[in-house]
Amino acid sequence: MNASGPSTRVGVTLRVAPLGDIRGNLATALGESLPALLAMFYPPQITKKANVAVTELIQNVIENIVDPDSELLLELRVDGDVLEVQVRNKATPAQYEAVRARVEALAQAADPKRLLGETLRARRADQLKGGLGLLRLVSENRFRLAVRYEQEHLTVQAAFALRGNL
Amino acid sequence: MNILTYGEIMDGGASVFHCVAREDAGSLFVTFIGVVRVDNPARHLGDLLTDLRHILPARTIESTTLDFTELEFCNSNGFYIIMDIIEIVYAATTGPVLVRRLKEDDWQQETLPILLNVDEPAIAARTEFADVLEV
Repeated sequence: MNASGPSTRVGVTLRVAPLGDIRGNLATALGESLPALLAMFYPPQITKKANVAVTELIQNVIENIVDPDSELLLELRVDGDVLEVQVRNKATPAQYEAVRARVEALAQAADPKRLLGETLRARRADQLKGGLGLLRLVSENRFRLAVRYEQEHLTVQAAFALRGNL
Repeated sequence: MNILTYGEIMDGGASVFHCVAREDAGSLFVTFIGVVRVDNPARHLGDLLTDLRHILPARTIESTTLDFTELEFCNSNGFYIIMDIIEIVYAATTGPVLVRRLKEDDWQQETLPILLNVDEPAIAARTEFADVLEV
């Protein structure tokens, strides 16, 4: 980051297809490698947030693949204003609705940390897997989430405003 | 310093995380080292939980240190297993618990207290945090 001159801009677009060909832990591979790239330009506060966002969003995709022949699109962007991670994948309307409802509940939550705690304990009691990644992005890392559904594809966007927050 | 038990997560043929419980003169030290990124960490650490449940109640533990300063990353799939370990430790001991955590880490500052359940007065009364700068 350059405080006096033009701000550093880094953007990465990654496509993976077909998803059924993935061997190994894609969330780990991307969660470790992309923040390592960012670490060349940005402080740990940013690279750690990128690590969490990439890991959780990719993990969500991998755990909910509906079509093994479909594609995953990851876009990571950092500039002087924002850290933004966006993930697009094929999804059913029901999957979109579940994510949309979760994002909306988070947007309306007066205390996201309390919501994380309550959700965590409820899901743990029922031995439910997943469902915590988006919550932690908001409550722990203060990302703003947005979600949209177009032509059978779900896009989840996580954005963290850098100005005034670092 | 006696090693009471340990658990390990292997990923892709490599050891990526281990948790070690040590005891020395009535002090228990539980350290969390590495990264939790696997899909189902409980599958790797079941024996650790069993050991902790059996070993700790038989020991006289006066104080406990939970050290997270070498835990570099924990995905949300790892939250439950961290809670499981913490819960066993708190249930099997009665004394103060010092939680060593990284000062500049969102997970350790924001979410770890939720996993510890420090909103519970009985837990809060026993818990003290030591914030450590990352080297």
